[in-house]
Amino acid sequence: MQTVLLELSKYVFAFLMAFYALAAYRGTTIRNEIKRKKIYYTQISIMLVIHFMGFLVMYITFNDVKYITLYFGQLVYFIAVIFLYNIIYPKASRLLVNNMCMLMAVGFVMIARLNLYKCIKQFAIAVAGTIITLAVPWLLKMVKSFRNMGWLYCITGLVLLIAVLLGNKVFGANLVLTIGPVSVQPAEFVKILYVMFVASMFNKSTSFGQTIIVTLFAALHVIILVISTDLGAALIFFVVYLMMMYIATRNILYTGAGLVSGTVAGFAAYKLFAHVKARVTVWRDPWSHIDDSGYQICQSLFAIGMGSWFGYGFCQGMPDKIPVAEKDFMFSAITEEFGLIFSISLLLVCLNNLILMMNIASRCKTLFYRLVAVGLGVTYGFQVFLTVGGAMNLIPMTGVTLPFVSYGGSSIISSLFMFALINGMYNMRQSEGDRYEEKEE
Amino acid sequence: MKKKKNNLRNRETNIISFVFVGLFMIMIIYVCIFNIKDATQLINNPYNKRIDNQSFKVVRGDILSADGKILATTETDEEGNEIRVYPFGDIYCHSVGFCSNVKMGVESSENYYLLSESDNIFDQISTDLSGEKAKGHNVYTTLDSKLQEAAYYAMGDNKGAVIAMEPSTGKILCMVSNPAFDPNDVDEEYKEWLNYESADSVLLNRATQGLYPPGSTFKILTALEYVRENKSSYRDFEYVCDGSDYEEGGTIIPCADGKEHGHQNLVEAFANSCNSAFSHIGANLNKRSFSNLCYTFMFNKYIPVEFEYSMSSFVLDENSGVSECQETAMGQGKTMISPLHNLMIVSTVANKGTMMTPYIVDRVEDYNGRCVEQKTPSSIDVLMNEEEVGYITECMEAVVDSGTGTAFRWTSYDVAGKTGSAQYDESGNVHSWFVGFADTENPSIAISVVLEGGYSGSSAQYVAKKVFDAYFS
Repeated sequence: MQTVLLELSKYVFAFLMAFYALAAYRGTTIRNEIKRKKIYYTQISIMLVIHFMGFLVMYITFNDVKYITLYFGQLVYFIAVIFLYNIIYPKASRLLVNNMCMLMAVGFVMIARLNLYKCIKQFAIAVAGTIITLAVPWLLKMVKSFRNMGWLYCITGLVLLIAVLLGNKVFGANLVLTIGPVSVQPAEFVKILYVMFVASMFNKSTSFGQTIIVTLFAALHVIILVISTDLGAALIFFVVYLMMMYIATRNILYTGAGLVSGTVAGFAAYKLFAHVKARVTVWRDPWSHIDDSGYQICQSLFAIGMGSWFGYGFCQGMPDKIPVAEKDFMFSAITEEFGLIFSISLLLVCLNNLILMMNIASRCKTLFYRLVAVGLGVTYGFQVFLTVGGAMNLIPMTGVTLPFVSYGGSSIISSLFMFALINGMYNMRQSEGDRYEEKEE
Repeated sequence: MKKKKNNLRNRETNIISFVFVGLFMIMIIYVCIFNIKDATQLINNPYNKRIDNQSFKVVRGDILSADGKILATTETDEEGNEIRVYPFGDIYCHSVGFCSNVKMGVESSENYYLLSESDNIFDQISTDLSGEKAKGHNVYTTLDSKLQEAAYYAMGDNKGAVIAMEPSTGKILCMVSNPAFDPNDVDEEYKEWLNYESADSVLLNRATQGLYPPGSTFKILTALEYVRENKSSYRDFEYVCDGSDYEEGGTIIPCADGKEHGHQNLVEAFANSCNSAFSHIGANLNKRSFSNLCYTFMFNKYIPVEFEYSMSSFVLDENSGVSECQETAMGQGKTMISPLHNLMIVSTVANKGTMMTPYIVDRVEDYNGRCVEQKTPSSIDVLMNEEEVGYITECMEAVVDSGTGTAFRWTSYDVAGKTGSAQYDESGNVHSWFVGFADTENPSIAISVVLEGGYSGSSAQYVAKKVFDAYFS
């Protein structure tokens, strides 16, 4: 009977996740607040059921009481997050909060399955991060001068990136900055500073001269990242800049010129840097390199292939065969055990987040907020594209994480920051006195 | 008015949304296509350790011969332990292989299918619910049990290999390599098999991985090259054999046993395997085009087969000396070939010039008998024209009618073939070769046999005869 239930669970997982994604999109299109409330509760219930089932299966399979303790801890956490956002920021996007919890729930379940202790650590960091970022929407509303601190963001960001670069070259550290017992991945936070920098600069002026200056400093970020071999972040920074420039200047020519020069620079980087070339070689034919550099991507493709539509069954597969699955290859690990229907639905939830971010961007009257929303939205969306596209070998592997789902303290805190900022903007939408929006709601 | 303003403001953000909807759709479609089209083929890979995990859920399927004999099956004892059983012992050992911590043969290449349950989702759910293990797919090979056994017994204790295929499709009808091993003992004896002296290594599938000098069987390609270089005059070829051949700047090549063949045209020289005549031809061939011909016939090239094999090598180039040309032309020199490759060459002649890809797995069925995967024949290339096929066949028929192929003089079927004895050391020890096909009118079987030096009893052509006899009986 027990095995029957375990076997059956994979179909339930797939169905629930697909239904959740559907609810998310219905929630985005429906304007009627009463109907929307129903959707919120459906989403929260599905999220809690998936989380519960995940931990139940793990408890049955591994027979360890720690899973139960961890489960209740996380249950309280999810309810608290949803409740607190609802009380403190009633105008925050509840869809975004639900999606965030859903992604974290899936992440927690999968990380716990791969390594219980990593999950405990991840959970602790997430709790701390949530408490810190809870104040962000309030701060955003109170401190109007955030929009004027462009150079501060820029210099802080560049200093951090250079520190990482030197750490790389001198100590061989891998994109990590260690201060005492804590090691951070600064690029995760510089992402946000960078968006704030570009937004603040364009908020001042979108003249040709200003555009040149911003472009130069943005390019400096990208170049440092390429040299420190953080190709994923470099690509994200580049694309984010293009999109923000497009919103700020409304000039498609600039974007076109940016794309062309980006392609040229990419080609030059391919010729110049061995680490860029190596990634491309593996991407084109991972099977010839299966013994060494292609091992990871081949294992990832095995995982996706074995998973097929309904997955191998939670706790039945071998996602631990993929090196660093819990960071770069979460998508493959999830597909292996939960199947493509589940993981594609998860992908659609990520896309839903991006659409919600673009929605709030379109409603912001102040250019600064609008640009920050677009910048963060593109950062988020493109990062998902890089990690998932890399895992399925659609594009070369760049080693970025799947926000909220992947293991990594810096990654989850910076994702929490991003979503808190977006919710801050949702929170301000009527306070800005935009009459059109009042009528819509 | 208000709405219009709103739309204008939304335009840019909407464009970004659409770009991302596009990017995500590309990912989703890509991964779906991957799952439908490529996934099954890709995950069937020895590096994929996940497949073995399937054995907790699925009972490994059977491997069968083309005529339905069970070559490998899984039996469950009273305690529920699964044992892999090979009813024919060592007869199919190199082709079927074994399944243990290490795998070989069809057991390795079809591992994924053997451990796959029915594709039908309702079947899957119902086996999931029943709590019983699902049954894996059954793999049908192209091997014919009658021919396999005939080949196995014809080899006796001799070292070497027999491999036969259907020239028009590439279906491998039998494949025997000696010495053999009993796959039922893999768990206990695998280490010992690995420890064998290399000359005796039982795990080596000599039919596909053994490399031998081709000896006189190579004269098929030498003759073909001569025909191509002398399109109008090759039928006028004349040579007077006095038992050996000396070429300017080269070396002395003697005929076997110093025999004087006298006046020979090309067909006679081929039938009598006159080394002197071929040494003379070799010294005057265009090295570049000869080398190119061998390349098109898959020397120094990967062969697109799904089992382990060794690449044949042909090293003649424009810098080679005269004596190397003489030796290469009669099948000595540095040329090395596998019995499989020699079979592909002779099958090309039998199949009117088209070389087919050999294959050993015909189809995969689920346990209900529904076909999951059907292999279709695929051709490699058209390598000979009608005239060349006709002439080479004429040469090979002459071998049997009046030349060295004495085994087939009084058979009920017509054979075309070429014998060979390949010298592999200074003391004159030879490997015995035979390649050929039957019936000559409409060839339905081609064969390649090699008996390693020191063989006892009759030569390779008599082994081939026993297989042909079984086939035509």
